[in-house]
Amino acid sequence: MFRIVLSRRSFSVLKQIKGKVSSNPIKIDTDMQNKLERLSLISFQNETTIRKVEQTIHSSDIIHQVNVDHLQPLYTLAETELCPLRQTDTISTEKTLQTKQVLANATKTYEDYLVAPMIGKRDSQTVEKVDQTAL
Amino acid sequence: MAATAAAAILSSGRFYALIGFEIHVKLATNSKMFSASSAAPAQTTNSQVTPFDMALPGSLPYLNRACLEAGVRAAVGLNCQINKISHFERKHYFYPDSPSGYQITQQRYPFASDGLFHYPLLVKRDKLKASTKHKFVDNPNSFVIKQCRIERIQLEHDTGRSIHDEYQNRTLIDLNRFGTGLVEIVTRPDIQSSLEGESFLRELNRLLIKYNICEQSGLETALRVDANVSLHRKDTMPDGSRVEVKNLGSFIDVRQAIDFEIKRQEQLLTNNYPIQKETRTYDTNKHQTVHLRRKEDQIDYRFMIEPNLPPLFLYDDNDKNINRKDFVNIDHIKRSLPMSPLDERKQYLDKYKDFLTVEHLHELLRLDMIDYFRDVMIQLDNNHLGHIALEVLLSDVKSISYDGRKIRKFAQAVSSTLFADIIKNLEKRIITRFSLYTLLTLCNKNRDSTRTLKSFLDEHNMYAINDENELEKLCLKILEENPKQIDRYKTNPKKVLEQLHSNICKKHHGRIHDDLVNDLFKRLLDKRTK
Repeated sequence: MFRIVLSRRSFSVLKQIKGKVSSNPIKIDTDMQNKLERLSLISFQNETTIRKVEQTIHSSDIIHQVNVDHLQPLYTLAETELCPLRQTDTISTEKTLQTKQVLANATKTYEDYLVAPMIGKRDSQTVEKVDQTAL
Repeated sequence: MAATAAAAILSSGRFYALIGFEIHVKLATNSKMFSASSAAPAQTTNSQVTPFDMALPGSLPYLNRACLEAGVRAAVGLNCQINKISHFERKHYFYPDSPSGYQITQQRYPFASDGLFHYPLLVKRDKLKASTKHKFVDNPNSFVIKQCRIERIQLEHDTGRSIHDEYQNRTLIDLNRFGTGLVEIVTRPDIQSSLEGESFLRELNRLLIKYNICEQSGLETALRVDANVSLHRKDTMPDGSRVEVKNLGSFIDVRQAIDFEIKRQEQLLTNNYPIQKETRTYDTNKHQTVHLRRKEDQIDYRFMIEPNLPPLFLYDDNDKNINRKDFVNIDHIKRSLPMSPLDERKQYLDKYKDFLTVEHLHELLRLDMIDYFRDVMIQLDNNHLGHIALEVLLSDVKSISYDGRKIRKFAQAVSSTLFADIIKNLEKRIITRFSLYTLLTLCNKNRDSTRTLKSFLDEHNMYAINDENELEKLCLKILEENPKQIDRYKTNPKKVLEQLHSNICKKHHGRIHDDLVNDLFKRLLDKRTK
């Protein structure tokens, strides 16, 4: 087991950065909490969870200190690859699953349909009442 | 009516409207965009699903070349600049009909952008004169060609189908549709009225069908349109506020929704209320738009480049390694495309200039009869009969089938060969002009385009009576039945001839030639009264 010993110089740089970051910590208010819950489909049960999330954000904020203005993000390891094309527009029966396979992992099905709880119609994830005064 | 209100608002000069569209086009390919299952509609539930369509772990997307080629055809038809390098992205949101939790699209890096599309403004002929009052129809006497800029065209895929069961509080999901190829066309807000909007969409539909990008069917299945509408006071700059209207399933819905929005926004502006940026949905029963969500509540889609799909490269003749057949060559596609509907119509004007005027062409276009006209002309192959055919199309056929859908039904029953036969027989005077409406209705109802014209004429005895003697006998019979007319002939010849004419036509409906019978009656009566 090696103990990684930071040199004096890099240690002081780290201290400086940490100093900058701790000056404005992020606070999660109710709006932000609702937004995060909707985006992740995870509910924040209590205050402790929210504090933990705030702490995580705080310690990962250090990443913004890196200057990436001159860099492109690396989103694939195969950088020189071109998008391959499936040359023939034919239907493959081998790759198509049978209906019973499609339904195999579902807890609830109904007449070959997959069943999901009704969360409202598309495009209305926040449905508001019709504002009569504005009509 | 919202339509007249909107037209009045726009022509008053106090306001102007900016309208843009986001159009999703379902591509006419056999298989889906990123997987090899069938893209055909209306299949048995969940029978056209691959592991990728279900987002099973380990499945990867594989781009279908046919979808890319269809997209390039759309871009060429809309005169777009094609970006030779484009990227696919993930648009994240949760919904049961999207098992992966994201849609693969090209939001920030589309493969085509900055296009221009020309379309004819379709105005009803009898309303042309009235609409000179409205600013947005420049010249009532000719084909007005308008243009609309295209902001971008991108490739993306469709989601599954969800059926909401309110009684059991559940949603039923069918994944057959998930992954079928779509092309999204986003326009700049160059459209200025609902009329322009409908004309634009109809011409776009014509182009997409001609270039084999989507299937011929009502707007319902092939195109889905979202409209962005904003009304502004004249002499003010647009302030970026706009209202998005969704759930527009047909051309008529688009027209009514835009008119309603213009009317609603005018009321707000006149009463000095600000126009909220919002998303609204169209209620097809009440012909109104209804609030759905505020723009500020927009979902954060967290776009990121799709890591499973490398950058998309398109080539043209200038590129060196174009000999590789497995890449798509833009110039090759350009060469293989037929001419645009606009150019094709210009060609007709030239080819049939003896009898086809711009007004005729406009009317054929408005009634969606251009294809049928073209087929009939090919069958006739003789300009001299062309003007008869045109006249019949624009009168009798128009009364029988007055919109695109009815015309297609008509064309199935009365094939262009059958129609051409009718015209040839009319010219030879085997049938009368008068009988055409009845004859065409019969053929249309019969729904059998393989039956010969002769069989129809035999069955219903519609041959014109050309034999002079026979005709004279019939005329004499009419005269016997109407002795009073003979007496009246001395005083009022014109009226008597008219009455006798209508009398004989009612009796032998459609078998009498107008001109023959008039001359005959005149001759007989002159003889009698001498």
